[in-house]
Amino acid sequence: MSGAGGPGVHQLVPMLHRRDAVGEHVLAIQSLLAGAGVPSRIYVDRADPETAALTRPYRAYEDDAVPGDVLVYQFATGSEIAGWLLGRSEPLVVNYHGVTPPDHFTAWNNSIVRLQAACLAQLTLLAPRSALGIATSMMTARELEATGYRRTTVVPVLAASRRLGEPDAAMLADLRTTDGDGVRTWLSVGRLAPNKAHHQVVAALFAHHMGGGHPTRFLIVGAPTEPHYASALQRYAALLGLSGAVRLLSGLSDRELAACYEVADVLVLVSDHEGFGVPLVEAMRQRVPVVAFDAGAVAESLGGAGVLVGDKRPSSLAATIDSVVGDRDRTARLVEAGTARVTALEAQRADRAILAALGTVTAVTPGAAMLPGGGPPVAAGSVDWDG
Amino acid sequence: MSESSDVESQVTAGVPPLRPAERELLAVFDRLAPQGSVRWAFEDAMARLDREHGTPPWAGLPPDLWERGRGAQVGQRLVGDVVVALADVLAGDARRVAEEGVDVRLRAAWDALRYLAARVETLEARIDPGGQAVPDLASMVPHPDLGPLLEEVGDWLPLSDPHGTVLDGECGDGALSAALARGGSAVHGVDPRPRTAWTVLDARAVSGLPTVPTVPTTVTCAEVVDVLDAGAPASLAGVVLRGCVDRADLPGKVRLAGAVARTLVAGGAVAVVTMDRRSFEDRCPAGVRELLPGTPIAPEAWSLLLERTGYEVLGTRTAGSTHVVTARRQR
Repeated sequence: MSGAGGPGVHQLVPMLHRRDAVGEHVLAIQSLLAGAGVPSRIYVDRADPETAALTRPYRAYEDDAVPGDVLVYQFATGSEIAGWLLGRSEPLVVNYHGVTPPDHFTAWNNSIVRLQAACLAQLTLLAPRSALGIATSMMTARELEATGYRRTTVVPVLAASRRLGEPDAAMLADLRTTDGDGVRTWLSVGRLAPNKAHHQVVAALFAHHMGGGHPTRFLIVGAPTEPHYASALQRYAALLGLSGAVRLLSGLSDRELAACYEVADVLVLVSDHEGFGVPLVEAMRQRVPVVAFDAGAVAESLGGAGVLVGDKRPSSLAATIDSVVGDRDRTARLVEAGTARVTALEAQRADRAILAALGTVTAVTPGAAMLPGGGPPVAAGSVDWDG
Repeated sequence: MSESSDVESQVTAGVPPLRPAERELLAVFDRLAPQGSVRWAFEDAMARLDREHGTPPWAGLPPDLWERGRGAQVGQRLVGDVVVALADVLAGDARRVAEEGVDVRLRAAWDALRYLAARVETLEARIDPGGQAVPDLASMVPHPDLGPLLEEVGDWLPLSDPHGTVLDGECGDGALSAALARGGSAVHGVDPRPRTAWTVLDARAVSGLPTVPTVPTTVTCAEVVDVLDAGAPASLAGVVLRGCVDRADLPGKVRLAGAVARTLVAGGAVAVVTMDRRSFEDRCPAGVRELLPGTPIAPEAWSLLLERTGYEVLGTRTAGSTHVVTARRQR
C-alpha cells in the first residue's frame, strides 16, 4: 500500500460534474481509492466551478507525476486529454462510458457533431496505448473490442449504486401541490440532449391527451446540456398546448430527485443511445416501474425488470405507458422485479470489481500502488454482469 | 434470468410506420431544430475558430442577444453586435497571423463574415413579430365560418389550373380542403393548431372526437407564412388564407400577401377569408385579444393591400360576419 506521496491511481476526465453519471462515478472511484490508502487525484481539461476545488488542470500532472503512477481516463466525450495521454508513459486504463453517435446532434449543434466524431477517433488512438479498457456494459465492451482494445472488462458505473436518500420534503410538497387530484405522473431523467429523445415522450403525452387519456403530467429532470434542444423542448410543449402538463427540472439534489421518483407513476426512458442508463437502476431502487426503449445498454441494465419497447410511435408509447400505470397488479409485478434486479446488481459489488480491475494494472506495474484484489490480468467480461 | 424475465418484454420485431398524424406531430418538433438558422450557422462558424489554435474558446454571443434580435427594428443592432464580436476575433487573429504566418483562423473568420453577409436578408426576414407569437394562441382565436360560401368555393376561387395545388391555410376541420379536393385540386392543408391538425389527420383513429370529412390532403402543422416561405416559387395554383390574416399585425399581413405572390403561379388566385372586426372582438376572449399582434381589417383594406402588392382584385363576397376577398396574381 502506498503512502500519500507515493505512486497513485489518478483519474482524468474532460470536466467533472456533480449529479452526472460520469462525474459521480469518478468521485466514487476516488473515494474507494482513498479508502484503500491509494493516492488519487482528479485532473480535468476544463474546470466546472462547482467542483473546481476537487480538480487540477490535466497539464499540472506533468509536475505531479510519480514513477509507478497509473492513469485512468474516463472516456465519454472528446477532449485534448486524449492526445496528451498518447505522449505519457504511465500505464493507462480507459474507463469507457459509451460515446453518443454524432448524428444525433446534426440538426442541433455542429460543434458537438465534430467533437463526437473526433471522440470516436480518439478512442481508437488510445487503444494500443491502453493496458485495460473498463466498459460500463457489455454493449460498450463490444465497442471497445471492435475499436482494438485487447483487454477489457465490464464494471457498471458506480453512480448506479448511489443512494438518493429520503425525498426532500419541500420538493415533495411542491410536486404534490401542483399535482391535481388523480393526476398521474410520467417521469424522465436524463440530460436535455437530442439522443435522450424526451420530445418523443412529449409527443406521446399529446397523443395520450388527444385519445382522452387519464389526466397526466410529465416531469423531465435533466441538465440542459444542449441548450437548443432544451429550448425546443419547452417550445414544443407550449405549441402542443402542454405547457401546464410538462415540467422541466434541473440542478436537483439527490433528495429532490428522490422526491420526483416518489411522485412518479412510471419512469419513461426512450433514449436512442445509452451506455448504461443510471436512471433505470435509480427507478428500480425507488420502486418505480420502468418503460424503456430498447437501445444501447438499456436491455442489459434493465435485466428484464421493466417494460422494454421497440416501438415509440407516440400513440403506441402512450398506450404502453398507460398499460403500466393503469394496472396496479402489473405495476406491483414490475416494482418487485425491479427490486430483485437491484439486489442482483448490488450483489455484484461494482466497487470491489473496479478496484480488482485496477489492481490488475497496478500489480503488473513495477512500483505502482498495490490495490486490494490486484492479481492476474482480467479477461474480457470477467465481471459477472448477467448475475 | 430472473422471475421477471417473462414479465415484460414488448420489443416488437417490426414497427409499423407512423400514422400521418403522428408523423406530423413529430415533424412539428423537428422544425424547431436550429440547423440552417442564422444563429446555428454563426455559432458553428465561431466554434471553428476555437481551441485548436490556442486562443480562449468562443464564449458565445451575449445570452439575450437572440431574444433581443427577434424584436422589431433590432435587425441592425443584432448584426452590429455580431460584427463587433467578429471584429474582436479578427483583431486578435491579425496579430496572430502576422506572428505565425498561419491563415487558418483568418480564413474561418472570413467564412463566417461571408456567411453572415449572405444571410442578412434571411436574418431580417426572421426578425418578425410572428416568431414572437404566444405559443398555441391560434387555438384560442375565433376562425371565420364560411357557411354557405363553402360549397361555392369554385365560384370565388377561380383556378386557372383546376388540377393544380391549392394551399388551404388555415384548414381547420378540413371541410374546405375536402370541397377543393372534390373540385379536382390537390390540396395542401396547413394549420398551426396541433389538436386541429391531429384531428384532421387522425379522425378515424381517435375515438370520441367529432367526425370530420375525409380529406385527401397533406396537412402540415405550422404557421402558414412559414410554409409559404419554405415553398417553391410559382408552385401553387391557389391559396386560401384564414385565421392567420386576422391575427397578424399589419406588417405580418403585408408579408403574407408577399409570400403568397411569390408562391403563386402567374394567374394564380388568392382568397383572403376575414372576419368582421366587431364579430371577431365579440367572440375573442379579452385576455386573448390583448395578446394578439393584430386584429381583422376591413375587406376594403384587404382589397387595397392586395392591389398595391401586385394583385388584380376580383371582388368580395360576404356571408354573415365572414368576408372573402379574392384576387389574382397578375400574369
